[in-house]
Amino acid sequence: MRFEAVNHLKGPCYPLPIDNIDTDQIIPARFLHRSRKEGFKGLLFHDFLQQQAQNAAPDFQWVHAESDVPKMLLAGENFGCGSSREHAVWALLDNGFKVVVAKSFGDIFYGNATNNGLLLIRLTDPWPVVLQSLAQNLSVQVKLDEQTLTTADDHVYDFAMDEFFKNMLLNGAQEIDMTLRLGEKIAAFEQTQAQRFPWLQQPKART
Amino acid sequence: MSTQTLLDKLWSAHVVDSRSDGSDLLYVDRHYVHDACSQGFDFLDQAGLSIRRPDLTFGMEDHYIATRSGIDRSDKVISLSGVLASNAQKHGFSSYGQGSPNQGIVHVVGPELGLTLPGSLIVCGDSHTATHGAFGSLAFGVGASEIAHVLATQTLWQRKPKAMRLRLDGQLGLGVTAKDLILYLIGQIGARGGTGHVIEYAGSAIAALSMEARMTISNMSIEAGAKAGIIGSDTTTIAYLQDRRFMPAGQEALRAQQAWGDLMSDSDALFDHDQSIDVSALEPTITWGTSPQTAVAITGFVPALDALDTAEREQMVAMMAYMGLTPQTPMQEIAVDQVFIGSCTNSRIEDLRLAAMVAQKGRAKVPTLVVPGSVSVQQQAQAEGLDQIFKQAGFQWANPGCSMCVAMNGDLVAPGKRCVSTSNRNFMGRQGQGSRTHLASPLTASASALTGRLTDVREIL
Repeated sequence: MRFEAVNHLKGPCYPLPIDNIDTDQIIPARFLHRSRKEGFKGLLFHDFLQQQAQNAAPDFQWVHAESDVPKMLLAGENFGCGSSREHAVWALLDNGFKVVVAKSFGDIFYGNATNNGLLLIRLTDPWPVVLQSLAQNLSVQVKLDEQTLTTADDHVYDFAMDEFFKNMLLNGAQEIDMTLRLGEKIAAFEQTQAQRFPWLQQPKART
Repeated sequence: MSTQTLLDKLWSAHVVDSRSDGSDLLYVDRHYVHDACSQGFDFLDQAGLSIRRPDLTFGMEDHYIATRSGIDRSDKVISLSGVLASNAQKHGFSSYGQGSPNQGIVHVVGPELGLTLPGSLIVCGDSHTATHGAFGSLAFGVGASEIAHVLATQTLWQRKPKAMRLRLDGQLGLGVTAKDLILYLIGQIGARGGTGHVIEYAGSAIAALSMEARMTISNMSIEAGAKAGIIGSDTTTIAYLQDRRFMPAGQEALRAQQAWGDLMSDSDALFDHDQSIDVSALEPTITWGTSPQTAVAITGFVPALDALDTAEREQMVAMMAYMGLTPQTPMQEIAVDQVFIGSCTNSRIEDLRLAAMVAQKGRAKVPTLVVPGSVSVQQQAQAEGLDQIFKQAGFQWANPGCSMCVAMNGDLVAPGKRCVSTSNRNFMGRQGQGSRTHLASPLTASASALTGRLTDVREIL
């Protein structure tokens, strides 16, 4: 729930430009019983990579490779759709990924990522251009405060970012602390709700 | 004078506080937790926090629970059911686990118990929480961090999504169910068509549906990428809730029903996206690929590749390779290895009645597993003799849980095997590593069990 604040990051960007990569692909269900502490090192895209290996697909050793600098992933459309498992975000983080660039993301995944300091960047630029300039780009610089992404050959992409999510990342999401300070407002809401909709505030089982 | 959408009404009724960045703090009326939510509790413990409203928190054991004997579950998985129970005991909330008459899939049990009520805001650490939107409630899935936030504060910071309305008119034909309808809609708008939106389903075709059928529709909203799927409450909603365990009683019930009477979008409300669709010509619908958007009519074909651009073509080729299919194969010629009837999409009593109606016309040619959504559904089905019909047809009748939909309890589809499933996801490996899934209605699934191939149920009815 707490993470290191995210702002300026520099590292290699690896391509996985496939649409609709769901969270079952990012981390299969049979690994979900692992605790956050046990982590998900070496399990990111587990079955997906096995599948790719059977099809003599390109080399994916970068997925699990150790790195001193943050790794970035270039995905396609609707990345992280499907199940709400936060494990998908943890699997990316535990294997060194701090940024995912895509055309679009699944909504629940987006919230989960922000809650863990994984920066998701939506690029609306013509996709073939993005692919060409970002794929296998060994030094991509991201500045969240300026909302820019700069490639090694100095191509600058601006990206849009919701203020709410941006602040969470810049501050290292201390949301729960802030909400806990609103205890009186929450209690006042509960009182009003109990008047208006007592059946919602005080569920009573029939005997 | 008022021009609010149902989403506007549900949203504004739950705003506790607002921030200048445009986010709202929403109050959560019901927080459902299941046996795969343990990390949320870990976070709560690590922060040294307690549950603000254990009386609004309800535990249901479904993901890891065994649904039939003789299935190998790892020790780790067996130990997980104890985690929910011990969290319930420690924090003092009600939890329905193994042996409880209220045990079952969270999205079946919540409505069944009358915990899910119109006008409520419901969250659960499961993307199919959208199901509860069928009751005119705003319900969506959350991750582990958000679970911890809700446990500690009973609230959640959210950005208001956009409103989309799908107005569905016309009468569904013979053999065409709510499942066919939602698969068709996902095929039309795509797996990301609803991203950033809450979809409201309206129109005469929705009004004509039972609550069970409406839940099948709202359940799969997430498969179109939507945050939630909602349906205004009406007399069907209120009739369903009568006499449910947590349905308000006496004077309170009268007040509640009055509040629920106008829980719908105003007639002049404007939507960010508004679309009308005539459903009269719909056919039984089934998926061919590894995304729910690959929906085609049962009379249709695996798509051709000719007209596609390179990127799309590559992805289609990959899906076909995974599914072991070739372009332009007639769907009805595809042989299947097994059938699964169950999941939070299609395991309610009506679903089982439909499956049994077909099952009594023959005998299963392939292994077929029927998993009721809850103990209550199981008992009702047994009282109606549906279990006997299934057994006589050679279908296996199991105990309630998520089972082979998410394959976390040892109920797996083996690598390379092809399963017709009434569940909600056909993702690669969803039903077990290497599994191949065709999403279908209970009617189509049951018919396919009898023939051993993808089957147009209208041949049998």
